[in-house]
Amino acid sequence: MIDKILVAVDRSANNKFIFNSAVSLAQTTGANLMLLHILSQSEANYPILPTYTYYPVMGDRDFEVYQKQLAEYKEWGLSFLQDLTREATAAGVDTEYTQLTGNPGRTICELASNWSADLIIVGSRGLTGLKEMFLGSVSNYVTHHAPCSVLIVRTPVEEFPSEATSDIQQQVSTN
Amino acid sequence: MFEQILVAIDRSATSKQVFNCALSLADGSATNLILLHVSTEEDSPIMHSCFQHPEDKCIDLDSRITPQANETCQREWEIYKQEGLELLRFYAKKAIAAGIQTEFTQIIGRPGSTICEFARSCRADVVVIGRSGFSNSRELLLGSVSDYVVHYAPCSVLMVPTPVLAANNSPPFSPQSDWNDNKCVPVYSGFQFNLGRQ
Repeated sequence: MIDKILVAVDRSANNKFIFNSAVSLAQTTGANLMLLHILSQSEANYPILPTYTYYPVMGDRDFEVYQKQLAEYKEWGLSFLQDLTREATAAGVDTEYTQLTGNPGRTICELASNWSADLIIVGSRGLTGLKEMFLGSVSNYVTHHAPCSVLIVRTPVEEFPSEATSDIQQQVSTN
Repeated sequence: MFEQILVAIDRSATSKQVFNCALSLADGSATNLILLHVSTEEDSPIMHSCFQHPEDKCIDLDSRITPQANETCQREWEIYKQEGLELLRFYAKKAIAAGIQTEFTQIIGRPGSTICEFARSCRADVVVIGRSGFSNSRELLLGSVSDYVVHYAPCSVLMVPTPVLAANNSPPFSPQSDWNDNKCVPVYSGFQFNLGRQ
């Protein structure tokens, strides 16, 4: 019944948990996996265009720096996807990956209909109330506009703090 | 992966898709499937307000009518509950035939909050629920159970899209005849006696 699973990954703290549940779900159902990473401005590492004045005056140098950062960011996204793909393939799941630019919610739904996915797996950022209203909720957009089933993965409450701290520690150690 | 799967089942024929999707998630004997049907007060048999507050309606009731009305209402409730249980038993049998440990429960209350509370108390790993795909304005007015569950559930939520059924919101599902149809065409069968329902 579920043959094609689309997983939206990002570099949030509970990302690992989402990926793991996607892989084990694909193992259970024998489905193909598609990993999708979206380059969006709302992600933490997206480079910011440097502007110093009221007017959008941009020197060549600034533009070059920006382009370089953007290329690095894209490169980082691809290597991140490749790592995950290798991991999933090692677990015996047929896996592909894609990296796209755009509004996360809309891009996820578009790819799901183009690829004719049976299930979309997204994580929940867990924003509620005002924060959700202003920052927008990707998972909410996807649940309302998806052409197929949607699995919203929420990290169990008791597991969350330890995972988050370990992720932060890893980042600190790599930096 | 998912050890406790909670499946929210309602009386419409579309529950079949939700149930099938939950079955495909289940992983043999390692999984425990819990079927939950929440009977809403909206589609349950109710007593007309004449009987509850006759003085408001300026009606003089014969004292012999009231107990009779109570009795009828009670009987309707029993039938209503039995229908729910029958539905659950039917699905439970299907799941057990597929080799999955299954339990079922029927609870009366508001669907959204009841599902979330139950998911918390039974430590479900995932809630499988149907999404009827009402249009936005309708959803705004009626409120959507699946939307509530997505926002308030303590665990992961799997939403299965189901076609919107025409006209009547909750046509009863007669398991034996409808199961083999591919299309979800509701069969409105049976005589429902609702006291004072116009």
